[in-house]
Amino acid sequence: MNIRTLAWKNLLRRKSRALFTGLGIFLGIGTFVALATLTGRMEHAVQDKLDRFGANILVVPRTDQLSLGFGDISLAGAQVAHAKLTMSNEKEIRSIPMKDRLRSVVPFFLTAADASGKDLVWMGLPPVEIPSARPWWKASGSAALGKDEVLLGSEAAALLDKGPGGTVTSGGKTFRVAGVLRPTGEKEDGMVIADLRDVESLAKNPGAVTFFEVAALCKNCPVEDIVEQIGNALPGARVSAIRQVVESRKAAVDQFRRLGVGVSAVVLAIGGLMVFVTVMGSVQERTREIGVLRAVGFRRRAILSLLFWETGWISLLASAGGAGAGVAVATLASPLFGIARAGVSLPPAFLGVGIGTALGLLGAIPPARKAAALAPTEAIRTL
Amino acid sequence: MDPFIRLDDVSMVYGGNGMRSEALRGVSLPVERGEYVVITGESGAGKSTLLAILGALQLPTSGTVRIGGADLVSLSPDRLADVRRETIGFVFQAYNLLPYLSARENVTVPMAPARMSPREKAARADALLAAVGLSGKERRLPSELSGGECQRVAIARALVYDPPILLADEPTGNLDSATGEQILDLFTALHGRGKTVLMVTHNRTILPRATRSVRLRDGRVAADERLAV
Repeated sequence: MNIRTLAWKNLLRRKSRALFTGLGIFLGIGTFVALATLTGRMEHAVQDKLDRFGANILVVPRTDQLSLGFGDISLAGAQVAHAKLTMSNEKEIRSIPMKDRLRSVVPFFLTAADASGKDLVWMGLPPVEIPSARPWWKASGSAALGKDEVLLGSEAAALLDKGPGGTVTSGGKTFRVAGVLRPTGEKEDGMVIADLRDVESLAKNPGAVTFFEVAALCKNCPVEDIVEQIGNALPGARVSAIRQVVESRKAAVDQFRRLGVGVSAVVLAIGGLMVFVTVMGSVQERTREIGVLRAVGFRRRAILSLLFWETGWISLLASAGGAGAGVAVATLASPLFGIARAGVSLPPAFLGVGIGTALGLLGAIPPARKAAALAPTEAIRTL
Repeated sequence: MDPFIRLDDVSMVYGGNGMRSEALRGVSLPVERGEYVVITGESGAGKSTLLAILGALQLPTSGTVRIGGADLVSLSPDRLADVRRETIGFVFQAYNLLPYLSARENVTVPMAPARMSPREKAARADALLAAVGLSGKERRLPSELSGGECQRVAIARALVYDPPILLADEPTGNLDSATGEQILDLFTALHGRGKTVLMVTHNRTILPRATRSVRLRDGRVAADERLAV
């Protein structure tokens, strides 16, 4: 017989009270682990989806803005490019140390050119990249580009009075209109979109690139690192993270995390309170027993130790059970949240067991102190 | 030479603010090693309070209490716990056994915080249970024992650290007369082995077994007689 076995035997004697005490922790930790696991998986899922939804890094030629004027009179400005981008730069971008993180590197070429007698901006990009570079494009007709085909922005189509199946001529070449994009609110509404090589030919500038859009998978890496590496690979280019995209992704993911932390904190607080109330009740109920232990020579520390062992056993078992239940619930509930990725995530479970045990012990501190302060005369007084 | 136990001008006051109750009023009581003192008195005379103070369960409002040279009033709560464990064995009227523990486990309870092997603790408990006549009943729960057997377990528990002093609060109060006699025989035997016994009781038939009788009245020592054994 030692303090641990005494604590264990007392728990077995008061099974329903032990179960009730453990229930709070079980539910608290179960909820915490389920939410932490689910939000963790949702973070991954959301980040995955966001990473696949457009680019987050822009690569343009480095330029200096020159101001032209005389005294206080400003006449105009001019951009002086240090270097031009070409298709060969794509290989350099794809050679950075974090190349595995690059999902897509899409070259764009912009030029102003005639379109059936109207001056419009032509945007060229590889047709195969359209679904990943502009997944939000919806079109009447087709959003895919075939040979000698163009897509028209909604405003451009209205200006040219063309629809799917119509034709647009430029530079002596006739293009079939594959589709008309629905309004996006972006500049491409007024553009003609065509195969990159066709637009380069119209501009008589083969191999030229106006900018690259890079989509980097940045779940566990700062996008700034990739920006820096691309900048080092292309000294003549200005590489920048599209802050708005990065920040909005972060915000979306953080919202999930905050929700999980908030709900878990509330449930855990309730669990801690349940431990406090039940252990305090147990101390009240066992005044005489504790008095007897004090009378036969238990020091205050031994009483504290007894109650902490009791609560520790309950907390540990309830936390472990709660963590297991939480993982099971998260796994079963994952499909309901659109999370396909299965697999047990152990860190939240281990963290839950630690938190639950600590919470139980923390909740037991005030009642244990009260018990330790009981006078041994209680053993006689309650006779 | 100082007496083994010495109370000097001990008073105990409960309550306050108009609810003041004096349980003991200036009690002085020296007890020599090996005495068998029976403390009697009417209800409310202060017997249980005196026993609680002698047993280091409670400190007096004023006065000094010395056991084996140690001034209990100056000791910390933990040191008082040590005194209770090592110097005093307490036997309660209602046994105060833990109902969910077997006889053996109840006897080992005072040793629970001690760093001894479980086997050593069990062996000591079994030896004590045998000494009080409970061989073969080590695994029984208190609910499976008679009142007299429960009191024997309580006596075995009180002896677990072989204390020189045994304090008993109405140890036969819940027992029939035949069983009560057996328990008193046990106390007589322990006294015969050199224990200092202080017993609170209403039962004056115990007096022939004792070496001294102290009668309390209204918190004071009304009579203190040496008895011929």
